[in-house]
Amino acid sequence: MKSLYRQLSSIKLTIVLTYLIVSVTVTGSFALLSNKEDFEAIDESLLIDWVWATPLSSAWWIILLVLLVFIFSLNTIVCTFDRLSSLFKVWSKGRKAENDEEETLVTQEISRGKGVRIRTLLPYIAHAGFLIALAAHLTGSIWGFRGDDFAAAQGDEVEIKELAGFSVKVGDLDMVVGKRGYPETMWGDVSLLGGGKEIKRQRVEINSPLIYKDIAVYIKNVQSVPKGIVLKKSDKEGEGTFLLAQGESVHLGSGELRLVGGRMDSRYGAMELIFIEKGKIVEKRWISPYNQRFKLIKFRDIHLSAEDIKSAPVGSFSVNRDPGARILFLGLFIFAASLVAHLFFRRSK
Amino acid sequence: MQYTANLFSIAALLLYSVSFAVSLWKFVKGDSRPFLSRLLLLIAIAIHFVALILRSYYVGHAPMANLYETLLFFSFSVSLATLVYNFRYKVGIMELISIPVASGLLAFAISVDHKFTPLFLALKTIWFEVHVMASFAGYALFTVSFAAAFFFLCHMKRDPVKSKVYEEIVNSSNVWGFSFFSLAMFSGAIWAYLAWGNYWFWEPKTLWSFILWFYFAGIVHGHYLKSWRGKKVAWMTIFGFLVVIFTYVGVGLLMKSSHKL
Repeated sequence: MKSLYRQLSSIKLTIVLTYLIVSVTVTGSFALLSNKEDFEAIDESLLIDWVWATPLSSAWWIILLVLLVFIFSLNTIVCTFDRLSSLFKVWSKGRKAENDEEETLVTQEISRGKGVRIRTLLPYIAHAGFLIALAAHLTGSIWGFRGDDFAAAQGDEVEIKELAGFSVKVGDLDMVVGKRGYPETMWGDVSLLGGGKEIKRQRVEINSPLIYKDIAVYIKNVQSVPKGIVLKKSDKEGEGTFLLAQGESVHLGSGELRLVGGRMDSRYGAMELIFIEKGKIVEKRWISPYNQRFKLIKFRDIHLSAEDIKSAPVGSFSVNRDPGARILFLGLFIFAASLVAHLFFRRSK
Repeated sequence: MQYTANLFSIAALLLYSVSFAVSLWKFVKGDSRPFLSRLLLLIAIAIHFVALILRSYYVGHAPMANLYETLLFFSFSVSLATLVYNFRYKVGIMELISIPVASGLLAFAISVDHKFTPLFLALKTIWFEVHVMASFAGYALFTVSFAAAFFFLCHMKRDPVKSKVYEEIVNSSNVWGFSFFSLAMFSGAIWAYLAWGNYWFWEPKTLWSFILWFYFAGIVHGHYLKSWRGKKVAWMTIFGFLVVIFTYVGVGLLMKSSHKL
């Protein structure tokens, strides 16, 4: 037991584990490229779920990495405890360090009678921050979830299937495209509902999700989705303009005209029409008001001209839950702050 | 504007080369007065800084969004870190390694495509600047520690007094570099959480950043161990520079990563 404690409290073990972790991750980074299919879903699901669902031939290095990080955490805990207690002994008894492991820069300093100062404790505070972040990551990996992307238009309410009683309601949506044709901003007015009541409402943008406790709602994209087309019909009976909505049909001569689909990007669009006669599709055509080649079509003796495409913005959203996220950031903050403070004290020395 | 920025970059490159030539000349002559090379380096850094400002003005954001801009910034960071350590420890010899590295990066920057790259929406956040600046500060400090480690090994037997100074530079720049890189990991995690809903991604660049972070964590711990201090830490630091270069350019060029730079 004493030998195990001595092993676990060793800085040598820390260094060995560090380089083992590095080696496994290097191997893993190449394995990631050679088994792409197995790793496609890794970022979309919880690590624990992914490991269960993936063949060992692909997941082995992640399991090994988790194991090594676990031993590394144990090493950090035991080492921190051991250094603090040995530091206390050296400080209280005024003796010199006894061995290589014990003789760190701080114990040397204490041995020289400089006492315990904040700087002395900062590396151990950094260790605590690292451990907090690691524990928080573990919490998120077990009790969190990463929801699938879902599409929602203005006014839609979508239930969060992983969270009973919770839903997301979408208000206004928009995307602004800059002069060079690239999106400059995209946003959605989003409400998180719990038990039918609005819990939180926010304008959600890229880099600015709606965060309520450990639940976060993200906007991934906003697109214009074609909803219908304005067509001008001319035949021997005369001219007329009408709106044909997605999936709807109108009588046209001896047959029927139906709008079956469409495509849009930030500026242009085209719609797909089918002509049906006696229950059979006799022609399929694309029509677009933005392109002269596709603006006019003729079916039997009827001329159709595309005048406008009616579209509506549809957002792509996702909902994640990570009970460890805030604690993880707290741990990382403690870690980074104690490192910076350590540097400050180094400098003042 | 871009043309002017490029002229400033070329001027900075020329001055870095002259500064290196002067340092080399003084090294060969055994002259330890660093005034002239230090002055040239200072002017080169100032001109390089103007090139960065002009580029920022031209593209409308911090110049860190594509290979050209990051090379320009990385090179600047290496030169600046070299100058800081040059003043702090009064050793000019490290420039013999770090300035060729900075010049090489700058020459590479001048040779690659300079075209304007619009920022993705996810990059329009303060976390982008914090993350990239902290990363390159880390890379630059690891470059300085690489140079110091090399000269530590060279002086270890011949001149123990000088080697102590280089050892101190190795330790200091490793700890500073590790701290900046930790800040980069920290800000990157927050940014990824806010932009994509996940603070960690299993993709090559994130993994190699983790590798670099852990690698230098090992070196920093090595410094606390008597038997590792000095030679072992110096060798690990030299190898660490290869990890830095691979993490920065190797991953983007050799491994298909969504996070190229």
